[in-house]
Amino acid sequence: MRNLLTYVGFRHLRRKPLRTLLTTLGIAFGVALYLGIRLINESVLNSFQDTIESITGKAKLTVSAGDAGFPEERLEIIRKIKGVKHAVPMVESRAYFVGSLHDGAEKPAETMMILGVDLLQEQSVRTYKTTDEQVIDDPLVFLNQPDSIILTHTFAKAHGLKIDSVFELATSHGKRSFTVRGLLSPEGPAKAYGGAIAIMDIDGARVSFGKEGKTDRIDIVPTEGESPDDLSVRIKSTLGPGYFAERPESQSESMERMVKSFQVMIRFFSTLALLVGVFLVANSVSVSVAERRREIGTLRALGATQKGILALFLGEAACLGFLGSLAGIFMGRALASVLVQFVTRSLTAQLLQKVEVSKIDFTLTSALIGVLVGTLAAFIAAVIPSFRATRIHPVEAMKRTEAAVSQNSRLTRYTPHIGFFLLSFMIVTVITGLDLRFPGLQLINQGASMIGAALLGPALVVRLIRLNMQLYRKFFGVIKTIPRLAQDNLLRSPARTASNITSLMFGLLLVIMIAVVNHSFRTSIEIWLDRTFKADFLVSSNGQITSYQVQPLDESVGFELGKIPGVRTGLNGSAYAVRYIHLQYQGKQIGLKAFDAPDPKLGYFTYDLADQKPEKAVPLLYMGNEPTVMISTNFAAHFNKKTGDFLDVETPSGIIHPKIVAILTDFASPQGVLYIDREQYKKYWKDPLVSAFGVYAQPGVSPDTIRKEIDSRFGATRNIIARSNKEVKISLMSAINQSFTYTRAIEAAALIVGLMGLLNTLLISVMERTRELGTLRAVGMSKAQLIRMILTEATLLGALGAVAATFFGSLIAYLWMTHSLTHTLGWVVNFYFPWSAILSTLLLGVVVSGFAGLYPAWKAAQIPISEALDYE
Amino acid sequence: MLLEISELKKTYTQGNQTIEALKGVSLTIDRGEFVAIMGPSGSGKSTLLHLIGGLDRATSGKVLINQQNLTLLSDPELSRFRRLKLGFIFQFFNLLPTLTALENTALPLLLDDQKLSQVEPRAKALLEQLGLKGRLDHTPDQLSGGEMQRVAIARALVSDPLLILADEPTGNLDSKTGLAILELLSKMVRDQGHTVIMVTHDPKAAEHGTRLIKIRDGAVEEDRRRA
Ligand SMILES: Nc1ncnc2c1ncn2[C@@H]1O[C@H](COP(=O)(O)OP(=O)(O)O)[C@@H](O)[C@H]1O
Ligand SMILES: [Mg+2]
Repeated sequence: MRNLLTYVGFRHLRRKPLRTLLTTLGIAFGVALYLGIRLINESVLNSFQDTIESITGKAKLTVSAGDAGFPEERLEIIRKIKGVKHAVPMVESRAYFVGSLHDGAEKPAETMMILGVDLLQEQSVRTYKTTDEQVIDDPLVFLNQPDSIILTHTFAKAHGLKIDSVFELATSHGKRSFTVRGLLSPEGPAKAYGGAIAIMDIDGARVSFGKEGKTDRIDIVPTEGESPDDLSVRIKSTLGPGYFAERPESQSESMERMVKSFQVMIRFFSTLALLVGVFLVANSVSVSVAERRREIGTLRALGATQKGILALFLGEAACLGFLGSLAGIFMGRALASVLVQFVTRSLTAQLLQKVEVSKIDFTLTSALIGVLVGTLAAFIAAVIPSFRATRIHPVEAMKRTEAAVSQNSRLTRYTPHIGFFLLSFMIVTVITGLDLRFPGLQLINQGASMIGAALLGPALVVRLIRLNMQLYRKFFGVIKTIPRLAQDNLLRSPARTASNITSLMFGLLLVIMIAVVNHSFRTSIEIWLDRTFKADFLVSSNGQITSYQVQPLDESVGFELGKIPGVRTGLNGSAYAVRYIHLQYQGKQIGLKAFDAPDPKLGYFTYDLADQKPEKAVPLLYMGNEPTVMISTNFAAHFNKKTGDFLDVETPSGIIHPKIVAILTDFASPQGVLYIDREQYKKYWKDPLVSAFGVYAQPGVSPDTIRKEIDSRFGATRNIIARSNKEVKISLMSAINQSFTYTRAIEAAALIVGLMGLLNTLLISVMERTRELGTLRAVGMSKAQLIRMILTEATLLGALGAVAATFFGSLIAYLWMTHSLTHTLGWVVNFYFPWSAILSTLLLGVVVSGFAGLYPAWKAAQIPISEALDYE
Repeated sequence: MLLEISELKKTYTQGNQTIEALKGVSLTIDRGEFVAIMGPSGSGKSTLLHLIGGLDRATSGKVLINQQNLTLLSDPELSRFRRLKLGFIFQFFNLLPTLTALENTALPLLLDDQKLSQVEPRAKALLEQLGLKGRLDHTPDQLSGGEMQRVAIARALVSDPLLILADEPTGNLDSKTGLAILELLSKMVRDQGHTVIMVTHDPKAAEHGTRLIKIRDGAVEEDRRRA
C-alpha cells in the first residue's frame, strides 16, 4: 500500500503540479479562514477573562450595579457583612486621551480605562509593580497631588510620556491635565486592556469623571474558609435588587454571552470556506479517478487490491489536506491579526460597548486543530470518489476510454435533488417556526441552506444557459459560432458544468447574502434615524458618539448650552439631554435611554412608536409620579412583552415596576432598549450624568452661528464638541459600514477559493477536450478565437452563477432576516432588497470567472495542434 | 505546382533526447494528384502531413502552397489559410459532438464568420452528394462510422480547398466502409479536380492513389507515380 502511494500516488501529484497546488491552496484558504476566525473568537474571550482576572486580582467576588454605579456608602454596609475580609472600592471610567500638551496638534480620540482606587487598601486585592521593580510605596505623596496619575509603561512609551510628563484627558467637566507620577510594568491590572489603563486616586477619579459619591465596583476577599457563593447570596440579600455579587468567572461569562451569537455567526461563515475547500478536493479527486481509469484497471489487473486503491486515493487526498492545512495555519494566524481589529470594531459598534483584544492567542492546540480539521476535511472529501475508484474493473485496462470523465455518477446526477431537499427542509422548518423550538435546527438550517443552494444553484445555471440560448435564437436568430460552441460545451454534460460552478457559487451566495443583510441594516437604521433624529446638533465630549463611547458630561453643561442665544431649551432651561447606559434585564444586557421631556411644540419624532399614537403615549412617559417605560421592538420580541405589561427593572435604589406605555423602534442594543424619563432615571439610578445633548436652533436662527458659539465656549477648553445632524448621520452610517468590514475578508476568501475551484475545473475541462480543441484549430480556429471561446464559457458560468446566487442568496437572506435574525443576533430589522448589489455581484461573478478562465484559455491556445490531435 | 516542400526538417526534443522526425524532405505535388504516403509506424508520415497542413512549425525548410510560404504566416493568417484553403480528414473523424452534420460541415466557414444561412446551401449540397440527405440534423452520436467520415469529408470540402489532407481516413472503419470512402476520395480527385494527400499504412488503400510516396526514418524512400 505504501508502495502504491510512493510510486503511483505522489508521482501523480507531481505530474499535475497546478492542480495539486490549487487543491492544496483551496484547503489552505479554508483552514486559514476557519482557524483565523477561531483564533479571533478565542482571543476575544481570553481578553475578557484576562482583563477581568487581572483587575479582580485576589478578590473572589465583585459587587457592581451596572454602568451608573452605586452610592459609596454601600462599602460600609458590605464591610459589615459576615465573611467579608477585605472590601475594596473602585471607580471605573473610560477616558479619552487628548494627548500630550506638547504635541500641539490634536489626535483622534483614543480611549483608556481609568481605575480610581484607594491606594491605602489596594494591596489586599491587587499588586502594582513599577518599572523599577518597586511596589508603590508612598501613596500619600500620590494622594496629595490630585492631578497624579500612574500609567503603564507600555502606554507611556507608545505616547512618548515619561515620569512628570503632563497630558490631557477628557473628563466630565471637559479637558483636564494630569501628571504622570509612576509607570507600571505589565503585571496585575497593568496587563488589562492591553496596557491602556491608568491608576488614579478614587476621590480624584470621582470628581473628574462625574462620579461624586459613587462607586462602580467593590472587590471582596472573603475570610478563610468562607465560600464565595454563600457570601454572594448574603451580599445580594443585604443590598437588595439591582446589585450583583459575581465571581470573576461569571463576570466573563456574561461578557461571553453577549458576543456569543455574533461569534457563532462568523464561525459559521468561516466553516463555509472550509466547506468550499472540501468541495474542491472532492472534485479534484473525482477527476483524478476518472482520468486514471485505465491506470487503476491496470493496477488491479496487476494485483492491487480494492483496499489498496482506496488507500491510494485517500492517501493522496489526506496528503494534500495535510500540506494545505500546514500552510493554512500560518495564513490563519496572519489573517487573524489583520481581521481582529475589524471584528472587534464590529462588536463595538453592535454592542455600543468597547470590545478590544490586546493579543492573538496562537496556541499549539489551535495549530493542531487547524491541521486536523484540514486533513480530515480533505480525507472526508475524498471518500466517495475513492470508493468509486475501487469499483473500477481490471478490464478497464484493456479499454480505450474516451471522455470517461464526463460520466456522471449517481451522486452527481442527484445533486440538485439533494440541494432541493435541503433548501425545502430549511424553508419549511423556518416558516413553521420549528427552528425556534429546536435551537439545534437553526445551526443545521444555516448549513442546509448554504449547501442546498450551492447544490441546486448550479442546476439553475445550466437551465439558464439553455434558456439563454433559446431566447437568443428566438430573438436574434443564429448564435455566433464562438458563443455557440462555448454554450454547447457547457450544456454537453450538465452535471459537470454544474459541479464546475459549485465552488464559485458558494462565494457568490455569501456575497449576496451579506449584501442583503448589510443593506437591510443600513436602510432600516437610516430610515429610523431620519425619522427620529432632527436635532441640529448633537453635543457631547469628544469620542465616538455613535456608539456612545464618550465621556458622559455633567448636567450643568446642558444649562450652559441653553444659555447660548438662539438655542431652544426644554421646559427646564437645559438643552435636551439623553443618557445611555447598559442594563441587565433577566440576565441579558440591554440598553437604557433616558430622555428629557420633549417640548410638545417640537413634536414627538424622537419616539418612533410602533403601536401607539405619539401624542397619546409620549406624555405617559413623563407623567412624573410612577415610572413608565417604552420598549424597543426587539425587547418586546425577546422578552415577550407588550404595551400595558409591567416590567421588573433592578436599579441601585431597588426594584421598580414600570408600566410599558408603547413599543418603538430603536437599534441601540441587540437584546433591546428601554426608554425612560430622565427625571425617573436620576431618581432611581442616582446618576445625573448625560451622554449627549440634542441642540435645536430657534426658528430663524442659523445653526452655523450656534455652532461657532458652542465651539468657542467649549471646544478648546473643554473638549466638548457639536456635531451637525448630517455629521452624526454620516458617522453612524460609516460605523455600520465599518462593522461589516470583516465580512469583506470572508467574502474575499470564499471568492478566492471559488476562483481556484473554477480554475481547476476549467483546466480539467480544457485538458479533457484537447483533441477536440485540436480539431477546431485544424479546421481553422485561430488562437484568439479559442481563447475567446474558453473565456466565454468561464464568464457565462460566472454571470449566470451570479444570477442563480442572487436568487437563492436573497431567498435565504430574506428568510433569515424575517424569521431568525431576531432570535440569533437579536435585531428586528426590515428586509430591503439591495438592487445595486445585483449589478456588483454580476460584475464580481464575471470578473472572478474571467480571471479563472484566463490561464486555462491561454494554456489551451498553447497546445500544439498536432499533439492535440494525437491526444487520447 | 500546387505544393512545394524543400529540405523540410522537424526535430522533437524530449528532455535531453532529440528525435529527428523528418530529416530534410523535398517534394512537389501538382493539382489533381491523389498522393498516398506509406511507411512504418513512427517514420514521420503524420509529422509531414501536419507540417503541410500548417498544424505544426517545421524546424527548418519551406512549405509553399500555391506560392504561399506557410512558415511565414502568423497564427491568425495561418488559421484563416487552414479554414479556407485546406481540408482535413482524420482517422477518428473528429466531428464536434454538439454540432449537427450540417453544422459540422459548415464549421470552417462559420469560424470564418460567415453566416450559416449563406453557407448552408453549399454544406447541404455536399452532404446530399455524399449520400447523407436524411442525416443533416443528426449529431455525430446518431451516425455510423462511415457516415461520420463522410461528414468529415464534406467538412473538408466545404471551403473548396486547394488541398485535402487525410491521416489514415480508413483506419477506424471496416474494410467495406473504408473502401467506399476511398472511392469517394478517388472520385473527388478524378471528377472534381481536387488534390488529396493521404497517409495510410494499408497497401490496399494506397492503391487508390495516383502516386505513392514511401517514407522511412524521416526521409523519402520511394516516390512513384502510377501510370
Ligand atoms: N510531439 C512529439 N514529441 C516528440 N516526438 C514526437 C512527437 N510527435 C511525433 N514524434 C516522434 O516523431 C517520429 C515520427 O512520428 P509520426 O510522424 O507520428 O510517425 P507516423 O505518423 O509515421 O507513425 C516518431 O518517432 C515519434 O515518436
Ligand atoms: Mg501517424
